[in-house]
Amino acid sequence: MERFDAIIIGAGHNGLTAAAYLARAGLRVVVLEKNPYLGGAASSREIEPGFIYSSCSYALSLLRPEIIRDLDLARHGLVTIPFGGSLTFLPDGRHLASSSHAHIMHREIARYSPRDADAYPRFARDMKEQADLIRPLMMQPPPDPASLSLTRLGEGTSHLRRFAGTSSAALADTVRFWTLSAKDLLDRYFESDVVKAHLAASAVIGTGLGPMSPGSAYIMLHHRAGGIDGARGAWGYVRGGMGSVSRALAACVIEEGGDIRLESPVDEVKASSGKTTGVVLADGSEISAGIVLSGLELKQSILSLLDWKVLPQGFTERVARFKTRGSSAKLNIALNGLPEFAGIESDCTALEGDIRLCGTIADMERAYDDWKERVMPRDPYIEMVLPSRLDPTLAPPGKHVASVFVQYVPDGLIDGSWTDAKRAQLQEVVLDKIERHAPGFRKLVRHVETRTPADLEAEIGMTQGNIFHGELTLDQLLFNRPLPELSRYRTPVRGYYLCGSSMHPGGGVMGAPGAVAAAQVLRDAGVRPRRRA
Amino acid sequence: MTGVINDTNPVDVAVIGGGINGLVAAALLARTGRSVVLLEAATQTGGMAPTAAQLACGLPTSLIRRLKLKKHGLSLLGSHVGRVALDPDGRHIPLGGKGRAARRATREAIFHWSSRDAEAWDSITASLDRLRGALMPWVVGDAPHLHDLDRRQRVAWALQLFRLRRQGRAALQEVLQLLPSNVADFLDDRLETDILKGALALEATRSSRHGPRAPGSMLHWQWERALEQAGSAGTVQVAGGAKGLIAALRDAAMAAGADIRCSAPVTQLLIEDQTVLGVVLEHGEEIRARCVVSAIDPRSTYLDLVGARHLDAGLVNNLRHQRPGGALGRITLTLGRRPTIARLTDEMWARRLMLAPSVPEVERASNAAKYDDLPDHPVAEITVPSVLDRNGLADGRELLTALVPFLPQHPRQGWSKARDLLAARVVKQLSAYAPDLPDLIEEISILTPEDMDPAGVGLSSWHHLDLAADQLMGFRPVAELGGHDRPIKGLILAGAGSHPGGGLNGRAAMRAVRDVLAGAGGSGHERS
Repeated sequence: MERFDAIIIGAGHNGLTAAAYLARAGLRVVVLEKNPYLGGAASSREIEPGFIYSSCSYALSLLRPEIIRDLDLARHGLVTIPFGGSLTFLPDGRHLASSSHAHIMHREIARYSPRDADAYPRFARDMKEQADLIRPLMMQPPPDPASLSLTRLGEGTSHLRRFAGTSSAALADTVRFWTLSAKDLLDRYFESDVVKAHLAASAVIGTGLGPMSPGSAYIMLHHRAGGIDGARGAWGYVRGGMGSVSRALAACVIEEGGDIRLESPVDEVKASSGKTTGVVLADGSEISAGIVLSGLELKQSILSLLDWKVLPQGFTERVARFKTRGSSAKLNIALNGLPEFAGIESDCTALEGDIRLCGTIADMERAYDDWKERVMPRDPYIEMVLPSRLDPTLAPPGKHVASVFVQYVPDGLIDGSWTDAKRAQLQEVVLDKIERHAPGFRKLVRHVETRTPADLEAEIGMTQGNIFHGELTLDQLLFNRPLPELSRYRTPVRGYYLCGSSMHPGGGVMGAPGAVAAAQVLRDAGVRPRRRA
Repeated sequence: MTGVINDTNPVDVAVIGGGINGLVAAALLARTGRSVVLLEAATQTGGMAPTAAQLACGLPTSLIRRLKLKKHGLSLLGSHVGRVALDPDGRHIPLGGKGRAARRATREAIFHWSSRDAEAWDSITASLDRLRGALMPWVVGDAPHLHDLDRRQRVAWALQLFRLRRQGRAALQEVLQLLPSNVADFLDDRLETDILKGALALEATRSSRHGPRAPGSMLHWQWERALEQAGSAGTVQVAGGAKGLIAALRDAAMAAGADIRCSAPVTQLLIEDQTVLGVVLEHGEEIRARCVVSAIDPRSTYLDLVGARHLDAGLVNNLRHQRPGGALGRITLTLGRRPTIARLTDEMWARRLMLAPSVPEVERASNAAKYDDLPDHPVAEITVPSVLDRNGLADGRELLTALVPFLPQHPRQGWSKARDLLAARVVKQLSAYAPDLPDLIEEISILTPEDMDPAGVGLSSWHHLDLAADQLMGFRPVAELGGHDRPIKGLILAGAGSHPGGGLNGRAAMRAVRDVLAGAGGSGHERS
């Protein structure tokens, strides 16, 4: 039987990050991936000849700069391209083109409300301050308020002190960012429904909350907690598609002596007398190791991979209660030319970023209400990017790829699960909506790949297609993520760890769960992580 | 400013607003020998209470005792009024009530629906009681600050954390996980009986703006439960409705020497050097006071009576963006006789009847208000006060009141058109349970949120402000006003919009009185 120091299940970006850190510390690691390609939800593949789709995730911001630096990802081929801006369209044709240049942004917002234009810098500053509070939490295990250990209590107190800020009013502000609805938070700053819709968009992406649900302001904040090329809160593309993130991580794993095996689905994590001994693969072969990490979503990691008999009473029930409702679909489209949007110059830099086809906050909330009833979306929120505008490696000259994110798509429909016919129906709804804003779009379409939440679960293993591996609400964040007893990355089976996005600090192509889990593994094993010279 | 200047003889305390909290504050302060004048804008005291409430939830026993309210005519009927999860087919589930027999009856009724639920019930109520218990010290105590804790508060926080931790690591973890969670998931994870979950979801959210799926709805629910149960007489029906309670409080306040003046709207506070010196009434009369206790809502108090010019811009902005509780309506039907609801016993008729078929139905009912619409299928909490309190009602007749949550403050068609539509929808929902009800209606009276709260500042909910993490404890009503270091010295908030919240319990006023007695109300003129 083959033997390794550590086995990592899943070659998603978190699994690869964990593997790279462990390999760098001198452990013999193997990464086992069920799919024939790398990266899980951070992957790019040539599905239509000549066109590279970033099939799931499509933009980068959250990947921790510490990881890029530690693992030398730039040397391993990671090149980021910041968005030029972003563009929001309302159904009535009104639009807002955002820009990172303050004066352009001011002028653009002032078209709808001079008052809002003045309020925007205040909003951006408050957002940045709150994101700055979160950042230091991201590369370490969450505080543990239920611990009696003095070290833990000390950690917790120092976090509390930081969050307590300078005054009671400042603390109240922080509480608002963590608990308010996006609408209530935005109403504190803005009056124009265009401006509010533009900003609320990042509050609905991937979540099972509406823009009027308390807690959705945090989703907005979560999306701002990253940055690109040192620009905090900014988003961008990855040259070659999101798969380049995974490829760079994989190159690092291999350079450090690690092994990555594709098409190697793991069936079971073996445990004897409360300790893991390795894994069994689908073909029956076994690999042994005293340390196993799972980058899969919580329920897959525990309920599918472990023998329930080894788990404490009531534990599986608690795991099953983890909220993973999926709400997003994805269309990847090969285009024979560049689409044009009504009322927008084709060289507008905002077209280089995300193009949001949305309604007002109330419209988004209605779509959320429909989603709660599990019906086919009638008018979904759409976020489209055309990465080939800035990255010529993705499509043949003159041709383009579009990545279309669709929000408030249920993981199953009221009248049954997703079928090919229903998937096709969803595709039509989405293409129709794009056509309304970009007349002639349909004629450019050469190939479309549509992924429902059910497809995301089947292929990528995200339970119910939840892109965050579990809802980002306070009952599932920090020390509550994924469950209080699992928040230190360990499971009831000794040596079996979780390193996916179900763990603190949560979803997005962030790498932090993988890195923090690896650090935990090394601490437990008494191995000192290698410092970079 | 011209007018009658009355500064030779300032009163000790001027109380603004003659609702329950104003009366409680006036009575308690007058009893300490202070000269107290209470100023009510309307022609009679009572605020929202007379029209809005049938039951008193959580009236503190200490208040009843200290003000000798029973001597002043307070009569409580029934004790610990529970709820009933209504079922159109008569398989109702009684909830709450006191004692082992009540708990057994609940379990047995649940057992008819689901043995699994009956088995889980005790552990669910234990979890809920732990949550409520975790909040209780904050509800009965002073508004705890979360920032710059003084030593006493630091000790209080540490003690409470220790108390929770002593029940075990898992118990503390459960509290920290469940408090920010939502009611729908909590119920769906643990129970399968729809009418049971529906009734609990309605109980949890009826005074909120948000439905049971909203994160934070557990906190809202448990805070309200803590308010209703902390050292109180439980949920009781007051003879004569809330009017009976108001009358007793007014009596007690007057007996203690408080001067109660109705039709005396306060239009402005007299402020000098950020210190309140008194109040100005509508006709220009000034009343000098060493301390002003405002039992009206915080926003009107500070933005209208104090005025933005005395306040920091951040505070003004925060006050403007306070979030009100849910908008509620009340529909009262006078019925020729008691309608027929299958197998509803006499004992059950005296309870609060929860008309909420399931969690999704409660959630759906909460959807419409987001778009300024009426719910198609309203949910409601029904009381039939005439079961215990005939109160001059002709024989055989009954009064039935439906408390309807999740209404828009301003429906798009306007309340003049929407009010009858709402009544029709509620009656339709009711007749699914009581088929003969439509034929028994002799009179319908409708109180819309607008009727209860013409200014539209959110007063149709008894909490004035939503019970949310950023509007509780030291953050209530806003952080700048939740501490002892107030921007206007001598002005104390005592209304439902201040800590710990509203309801017919007078707790906010009791807390304010503690502040006044502790000297926080000390203004320019010290009392000799």
